[in-house]
Parts: sequence; structure tokens; C-alpha cells
Amino acid sequence: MTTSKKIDGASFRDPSGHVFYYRGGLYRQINQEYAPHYKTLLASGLYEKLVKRGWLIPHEEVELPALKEAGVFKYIQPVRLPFISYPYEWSFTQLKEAALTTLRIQRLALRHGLTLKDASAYNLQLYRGKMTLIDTLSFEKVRPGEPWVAYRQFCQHFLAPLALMSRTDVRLQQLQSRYLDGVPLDLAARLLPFRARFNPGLLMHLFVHAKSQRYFGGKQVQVRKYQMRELALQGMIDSLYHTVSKLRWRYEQTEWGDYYTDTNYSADSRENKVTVVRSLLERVKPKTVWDLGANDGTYSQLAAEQASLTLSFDIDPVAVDKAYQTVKAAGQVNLLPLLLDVTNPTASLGWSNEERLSLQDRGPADLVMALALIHHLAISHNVPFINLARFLATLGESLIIEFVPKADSQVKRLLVSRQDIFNDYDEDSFVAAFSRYFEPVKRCPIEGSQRAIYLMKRHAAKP
Amino acid sequence: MRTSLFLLLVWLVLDRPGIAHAYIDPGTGSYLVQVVLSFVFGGAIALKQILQRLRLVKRSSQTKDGEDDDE
Repeated sequence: MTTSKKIDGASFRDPSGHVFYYRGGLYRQINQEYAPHYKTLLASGLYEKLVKRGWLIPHEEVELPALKEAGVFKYIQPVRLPFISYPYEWSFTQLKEAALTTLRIQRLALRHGLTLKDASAYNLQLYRGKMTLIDTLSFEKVRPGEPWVAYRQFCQHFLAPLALMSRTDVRLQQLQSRYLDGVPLDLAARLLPFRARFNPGLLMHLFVHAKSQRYFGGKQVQVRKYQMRELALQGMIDSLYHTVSKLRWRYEQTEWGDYYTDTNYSADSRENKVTVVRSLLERVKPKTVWDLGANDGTYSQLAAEQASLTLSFDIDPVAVDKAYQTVKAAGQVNLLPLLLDVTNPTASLGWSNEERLSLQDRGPADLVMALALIHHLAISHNVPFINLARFLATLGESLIIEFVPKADSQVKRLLVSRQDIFNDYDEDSFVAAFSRYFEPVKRCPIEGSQRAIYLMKRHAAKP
Repeated sequence: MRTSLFLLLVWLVLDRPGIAHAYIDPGTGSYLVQVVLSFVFGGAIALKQILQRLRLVKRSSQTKDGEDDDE
């Protein structure tokens, strides 16, 4: 038994197999009990079709002779994703795409005598610009007459949050970080407006479903007696697909929605800022970039010219959704917009707090960008420069950061309704604090404004 | 059998939600609600197939972006 195999913290529930790390590589172990299902997955042609459509992550079968374990049927090596994101970090459009992809996969699987035994939102990831199923062992051979075993999970992971975001409030998506197996249906039923019952799909799959869970919960029922015809099963998938497709999120105007038309830059300043950022990016040549407070991704796009992966983070769901729609329309595969509150990044969650990783645990990035961000953190959120510097140093090797002085109208606006207690908010203090964690490499003033952009490099050993 | 399932469905629709503790075996309810509703789903898809045969409705295998789900 080799000691260098490390099982992934999220991959322990399924007796069919698990994901593990070994000698720097990522593998999936398939146990003997799953062999018939795996063979059917391949032999039926479903695997090929799913991979061809970009709906399932491709893999190769490998030999790992050094691992001598009993009960193993096969090892496979799936394509390794550069970054893992979670449903509570996705925008509405991303979650909806994941839901529809799951249903498309299930539809196709049924035609090949297979079915998804899981419909967890965590089984999908953005890969090359598309939501893709990463759990190859989700499939099992259909047992005729049986309803969809993953139905509950689909409704909780996908339908309930999407309905809540669409009909009640987009912020309810964050329930998903509290309820890792999806939003409980009875909770969703209580939070949705009464009118939602007039939508037949929501009525059936949420309200009636929730009632059924409550009514039958704990009762001794011989469920196996009750059969469901295949035609009805297909009809149900169609119904779910139709219901999800029709869920739309109409943006209300958030404070950030108009951000880029609302800034105080003149056109020339803006152009100068773009030139500056681009030149700094060319200097660093990062492979991975995390753009914090990226809004609609304007500067993330610059990073994406250089980096093999750019994450475009923002706190505003509207901004993230718009950014994602831009990325989809352009067919970009190396730019990923995600939701993030820098003042409260998600912690490590789940079993033993090891299933879903915190932001820091999924880093560091080669380069972090913090443009037009610092004043929001330092002033609106009272975070001292030294704390900012320490935090940013945990995220990336290099830093491009914009200092926005008090004289700037955007800062003045933040101070309109509050007392100015920020005696240390000036550029010298900023540089002094950041120098504890970073070495300032270059300072570029922005023409037509009093702002300046710094390039900094993290110290090798943190003080 | 069918009648009692139907009556159950009516009750499920009309009864206002109360407090549920979904951690106590939500699986049974999820399993059975599919069975109870299956006559709705089966009926809908049967109707769609009839309409397709009469060419009144487009073929269901075309997804919205034109991608074909079929072979």
C-alpha cells in the first residue's frame, strides 16, 4: 500500500470509485462493482457522444502498477481542470446552463440504456467555456420501471435555486453555500411568491414534490411496487427542461450595473489605463490571473490576452452574469467570471471542511489584479492597508493594484455620508504597508487623474 | 389504485405548506411523486408525439441552439 496516494476531500461517498492524487497527477479509481456500468457507458457509444458534444470530461485509461489495491477494476485519468468553482460562485446563467446540460445528458443517456444516478451541481465544472460533467461514474444502467433516482437532487441543486433567483431574489443563491446538497424544497416553497404555483413546472417539481417529501417522510412504503413507464420518465425530463428554460432573471439595476458609464474617467484616462495595464501584463506574462472586483471583465479581457486562465471575480451578480454572457458570445475558453465577496471569500466547507475549498486553497495565482478596488475595501469596509496587503499576498505572486486618492471624486462619494476617520489613507502609507508583503516594482500614474497603478511582487518569505 | 394516487395528487396540490424536516427520508417522497405525476408526464409526451405525427409541432429532438440530441 503506497503512502503517496491522496484521496480528494470531496470524493468519498460513492462506492463505485473515487478521485485521488498520485505523484502529481489526478486519477479516478473505478471499483469492481461499477465495472458493468462503465463497460456499458463505453460500449453503448454514450461516452463518445457525450465527449464529442463537450458534455463530459474525456479521460484515458491508465495502468498504475505501483498501487496494489484490492477491488479495483480500472484506473482512469481524466483531463485535469485548471480551477474548480462551486455553484455558490456561479452566476444565474452559469447555473442554468449547468442545469440544462445535466438534463441533456440524462436525455441522451436514457436513449442508451443508462441514467444519471447523481444530479449534483458539483458534478459540473466550466471547462473550455462550457459546463461539463466531470463525474464519469455518475452513470448506471437503467433499471426498467424505476423513476429517476437523481430527481430529488436535481430539484434541490438546480430547480429550487434557479426559481428562487428568478422569482424571489438573486441573493438567495447563497443558500447553496449553507445547504451543500441543494436548497431544501420545503424552504424553497416557503420563500417563493404565491404566484409561482401557477407555473405548472414549478408546481409539480417544487411545490407538490416538497409536499410529497413531507407526507411520505419516514413512512414505511414499499416503493418498489410502484413503477414508472419509460415514456413518463422521458416526459418528466422534458418537463424539467422546459421549466428550467423558461426561468429568466430580469436584472434590476444594481449599484454596479452602470459602473463603467458612471466612473469619473475621461476617455483618454480610460485609454491610458488600458495601455498601462496591458504593458504591465506583458511584463509579468502570468499564466494565471485573478482579477478582483472585475465588474464586467473589461480588464480581465486584457489579462486573457496573456494568461492561459483568467478568473474574473466580482461581488455583483449582474456584473458576473453580463461578463459570462460576453464570454459565451465570444466563445472564449480561458476567461471565467465568478462571484466573490472579497471581504468574505467562501471558507472551506463540507465534510471535515475539506470537500469544498476556500478561495485561498485554490490558489495562488501568478498575478492578482486589484483595479479600482482598494478604496472600497479601505473606506467602505474599514480595512487597513496592512490587512489588505497581507490578504492579497496569500492570493498571488504578483500584484497589479490601483491606488485611488481621497481627492478622487469616487472616494469623495464614499465619504459623503460618513465621517472621514481615515487619517492614514494616503499613497505613502499605502506603499509603506504594502512593502511589508510586496516589493513595489513599478509605479504608473494614470493621465488625467490622480490615480496610480503599481506593479508589485510578493516577498519570497512572508514577514 | 390510480384513483387513490390521483386523489393524493389533488391533496398535495391544495394543502398549504407546513414545516417539513426534509432530512428525515426525503427519498421516499421524491420517488413516489414521480410515480404519482407520471400520468401527467406520460400524457404530455404522448400528446406531443401525436402532434408531431400530425406535423403540428416541431420535432422534439432539436434543442434550442439547433444541436441535435439524437444519434
